Amino acid sequence: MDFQQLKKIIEAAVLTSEVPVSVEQLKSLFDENDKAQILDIERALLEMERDCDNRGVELKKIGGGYRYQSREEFADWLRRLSEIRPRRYSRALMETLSIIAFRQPVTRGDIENIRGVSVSTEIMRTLLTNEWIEQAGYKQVPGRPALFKTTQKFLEYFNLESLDDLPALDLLERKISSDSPPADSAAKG
Amino acid sequence: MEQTDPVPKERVIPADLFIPPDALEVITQDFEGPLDLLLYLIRKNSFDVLNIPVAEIADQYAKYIDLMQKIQLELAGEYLAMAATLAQIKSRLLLPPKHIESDDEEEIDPRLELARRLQQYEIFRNLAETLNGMPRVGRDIFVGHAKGVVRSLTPSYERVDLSDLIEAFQGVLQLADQNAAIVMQRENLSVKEKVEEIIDRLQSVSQLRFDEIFDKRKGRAGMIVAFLALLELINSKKIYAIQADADSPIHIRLND
Repeated sequence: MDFQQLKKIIEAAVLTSEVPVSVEQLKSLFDENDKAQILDIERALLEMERDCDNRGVELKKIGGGYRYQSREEFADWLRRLSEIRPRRYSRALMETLSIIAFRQPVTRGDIENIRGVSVSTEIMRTLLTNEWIEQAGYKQVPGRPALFKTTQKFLEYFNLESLDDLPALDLLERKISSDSPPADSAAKG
Repeated sequence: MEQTDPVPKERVIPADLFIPPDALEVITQDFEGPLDLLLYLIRKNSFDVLNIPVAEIADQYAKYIDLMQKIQLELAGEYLAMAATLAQIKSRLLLPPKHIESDDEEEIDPRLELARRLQQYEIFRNLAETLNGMPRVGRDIFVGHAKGVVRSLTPSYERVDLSDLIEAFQGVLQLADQNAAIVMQRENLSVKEKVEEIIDRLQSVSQLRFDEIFDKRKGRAGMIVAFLALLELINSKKIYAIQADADSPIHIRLND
């Protein structure tokens, strides 16, 4: 198949899909006669990305798939288009979500240990209904508490290509401990 | 007019209560738990998390907890538990260091566990802030998609009305006419029997395609009887007819 033709099909597929489309999914659009190679698809995506340079939208890889989305700089204007105001989430909810995202899979107990307060049922329900987290089996300890992890929807909502896109945890840890003298010297003091 | 509502609860601050000058800030701040409050106090005093002057912090913490309770702020049990932990650490530090038999064993600083928890909490508190600031769908970015392509794999069904049924029946009748020559002898046909037959068949299969109801060998008359049976059943709400879209076949299903 002519490369330009292939690129147009991919463009249309990405634009009309309701969820990000992966390279494998795009490959499955073509049959043997089309002779579409993974490399051609990747090249088409790269060109599509570049084609957006001067546009209000960009092609982004999110959670393993591609989607078109508005550029962040236009948020102030675009927000006026939507009747529903973006929901604000409490600090407690964001803290709970951060712990799940970085320490997954975690139990409610793990979250409580870190935050020092009991986990609110309301928060867990919101996170589950938003499909940002899901249950991931049970921890094999007495009581078999449920484990939670983040979902593909979490990546899509927070504009992340993968969990690696989150700020690096060990960097933050190092930053905080370098602000203070090393632990053992304090112990001796 | 009589006031039936209870008088709104006002926070009466006792006159003799000493309020530290910056207490108001603490009271109006929304703390996410004892660790959050403790971190606030430590940072405000520019103390080192790993070398907390426990006596001082414990006193400050207790004072704030006391104050918050006096002005009737509801406090979760976790706040009180932390006050107890601080008091315990404070008393342990006041005791003269124990003489431990084996010299190489150092006494573990009781503050260490608290420092570890505070640090860990602070990391996630910062992360939550970072995550909250990250671009988010519906707030900072808007996902583009052209709606209009039906991607649903399970078709949505629509109820079929009488004219659709008649139209479908005409198609079946035409088939019957092609077979008309084969009809040799007259059979006794009963709508009632056909009604029972349709119900019987629908009890074993979930649905029947429209043309499956008609036995083409029974000729035009047989087909009309079957169609009457069908209408009868729809009318008595025993069955219903659906189709996915205008061009797809009509299906018959049993009403629950």
